[in-house]
Amino acid sequence: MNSTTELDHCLKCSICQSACPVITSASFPGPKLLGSDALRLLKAGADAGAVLPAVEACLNCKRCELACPHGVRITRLISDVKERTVTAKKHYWRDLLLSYPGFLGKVGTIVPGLVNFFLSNKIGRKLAKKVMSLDADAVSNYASRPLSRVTSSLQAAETNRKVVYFAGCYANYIEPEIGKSLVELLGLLKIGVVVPTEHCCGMPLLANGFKAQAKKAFQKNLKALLPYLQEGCDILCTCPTCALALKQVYLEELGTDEAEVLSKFVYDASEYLVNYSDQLAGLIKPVKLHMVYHQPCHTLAQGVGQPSLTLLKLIPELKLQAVDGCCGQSGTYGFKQEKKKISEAVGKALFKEIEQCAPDLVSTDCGACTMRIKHDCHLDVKHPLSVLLQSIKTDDSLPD
Amino acid sequence: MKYDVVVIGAGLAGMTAALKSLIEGRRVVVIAAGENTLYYASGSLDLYGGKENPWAAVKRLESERPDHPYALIGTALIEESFRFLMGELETVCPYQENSGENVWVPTSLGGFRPSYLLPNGQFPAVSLKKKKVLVVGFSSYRDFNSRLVASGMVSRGCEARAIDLDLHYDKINCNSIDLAYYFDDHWPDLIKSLQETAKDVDCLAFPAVLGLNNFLDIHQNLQDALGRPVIEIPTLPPSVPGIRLSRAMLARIQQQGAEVIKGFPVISTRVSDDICLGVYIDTPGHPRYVEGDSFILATGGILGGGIVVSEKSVDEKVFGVPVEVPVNENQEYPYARCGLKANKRLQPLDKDRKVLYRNVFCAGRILGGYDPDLEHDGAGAAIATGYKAALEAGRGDS
Repeated sequence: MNSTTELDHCLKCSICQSACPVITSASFPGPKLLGSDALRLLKAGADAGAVLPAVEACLNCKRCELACPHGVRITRLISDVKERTVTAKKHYWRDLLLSYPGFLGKVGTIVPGLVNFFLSNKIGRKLAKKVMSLDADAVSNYASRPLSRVTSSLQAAETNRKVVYFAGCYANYIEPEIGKSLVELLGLLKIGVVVPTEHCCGMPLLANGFKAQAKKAFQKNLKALLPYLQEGCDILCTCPTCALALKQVYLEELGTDEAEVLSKFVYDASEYLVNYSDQLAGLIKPVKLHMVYHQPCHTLAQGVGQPSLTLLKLIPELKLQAVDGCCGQSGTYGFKQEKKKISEAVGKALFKEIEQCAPDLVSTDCGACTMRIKHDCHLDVKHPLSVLLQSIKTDDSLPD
Repeated sequence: MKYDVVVIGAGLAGMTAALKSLIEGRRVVVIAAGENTLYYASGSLDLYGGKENPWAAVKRLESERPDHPYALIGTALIEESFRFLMGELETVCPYQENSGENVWVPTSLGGFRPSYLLPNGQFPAVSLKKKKVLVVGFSSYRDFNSRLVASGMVSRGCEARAIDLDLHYDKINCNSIDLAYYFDDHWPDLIKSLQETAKDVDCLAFPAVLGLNNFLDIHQNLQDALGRPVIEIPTLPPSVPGIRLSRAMLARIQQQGAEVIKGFPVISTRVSDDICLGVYIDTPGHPRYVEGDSFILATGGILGGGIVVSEKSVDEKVFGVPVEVPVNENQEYPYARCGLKANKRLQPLDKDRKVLYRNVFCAGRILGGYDPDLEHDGAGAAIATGYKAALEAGRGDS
């Protein structure tokens, strides 16, 4: 379906407006106005007027799409509007740089000491704020070695099948522990893993309106993954946004046969592992902790249900509570100084809910959510798979 | 993944069915294509409209209209289903009844309509007659005309007058959702603006936008501070009282441990003879297969998307159960009463009145034989059939 036929499905019922976490901001017109309304005007060559600059404030969380009763892909319409207005961006160069977390990650992990030092002291942060309008308070440190350099040593010797792990920038450069946990868990199930040299999934480019560059990134990954698809390997993602991109966005934006083949082989890591619940349950030991699980927007958007929660429920004696809502971080959005207020307003309700639970630990699948919750709730945040592996490996409680 | 009960559709019927199934201890998954028609509805829950006592009307329908959903359920179980839902919602989104009678609640077009169970914001309509009412509108909100509402009240014997407040909140295209979120934080401003004017009246009426996340407290605080009943009048969609109900039910369902997959329609089914084995959901990448012992079909009518009308035919979307479209007697709109035929267990029937699927149970607007827009029985039918479907799903395909 192209965006014109898609527009015909929009009844302007405004239900999407009620699902949008940014709608409480007085300057944000909402998904209906920025998506179908604006695109209708733009397609007719009319002036969409005052609403357009606000399109940058869209989080791309996709909650509007899940709410739409008529299946309109609202964020896709919004991404068309973003593309048409990208050259008018005030922070064009900063946003372009932030859209390449793979590049930033490479630099960050080559010289982690330097970068981490720069971002973790006041002068560095002030400089970032002044020069780049960047608020780096919640940025986590880069890892000293990227994931791709450590996984090979973790592989199981004897395997029955092979899967591909598309780690994504967060697990690759910031928290390799997530990737290691997945590789080890798969090893216990006698599943071998390939971690290909990879590029960023491209979603940050799309979310920032750089559609042409995004499509290039999509093509690049598609080409790198194609040989594995021909072998019949499933592709696993620990990052919800990467998974959503590979499952849905590549196909939507490229529309090629290859993208369609790819989409059928991609799994969220928990979605994949939940099928091995019985085997995993036999290995898991009790953990006496109080934990809150937060489901990221892009896991919801995959329609996989709550597989991470199902896996965490396998851990005996773990007191588990689930919370609902958007954290407002949305990749690098929360680091942009001019977006900071909106981002904080969005996350407020979620953080309050988490704090009211007063847990020992929070678990969530998404790297951006992890950074935001760590920073705003002052709690330790772990990926569900890291929690799962630790419950297998130790008799004592987390965290170490 | 296999579930005891797979509920397809998360509207009033589907969510009632899911709640009842969960309370009975079943493993439940709820699948929905998107948000439900409560987002278009007033948030008050009808039983049966008109001047007749609604329970007397329900009893009458039982014998007079054997195809009406109420006749399939029976008065006793309908009462039980209402008590069940009121109990479940008591702390999160409370509903009240007017000792078994209908209440005539004001509409935002200046009329009055009969309804049965009322949320806190609409219950003060019970004693509106002959009262002095101040109808409060907001200048930035175009979907509510306070003078129209006030004149409607005057014609019904109230002494109503209208004012419009300027909130200094001029969001572009400001609608009910924007205002509801605005008042979640800014409700105390209303006390300041209205404290003096309120002294001359018995009651204040607002468009139903007084908060989304925090309504119960806001409503109570406003009534306490102004010393008068505060009534909310349902607005054009999106309807905030409907959203509050929908969200409260969804939260309750999740709290009770149901898995919810929202945003994706069911696209096909796997069946073996007259048993449904599972359904496929149209999720990104690969369709998701969900297995279950019982299935509750609550995808809604034409508005909800469960029934699709095309130039050639009228179709039920999930199982392809034949839809009965009554012939156009009395010049009525033929599609109003269209829907599936079901037996007393709510199993769907084919054209020869034979059960199509033994472990599928239909609930809500997908059923035929009634016209909620004329009869004011949509919510009652949804609650009663949702409740009944859960009982039958629990009993299985025997």
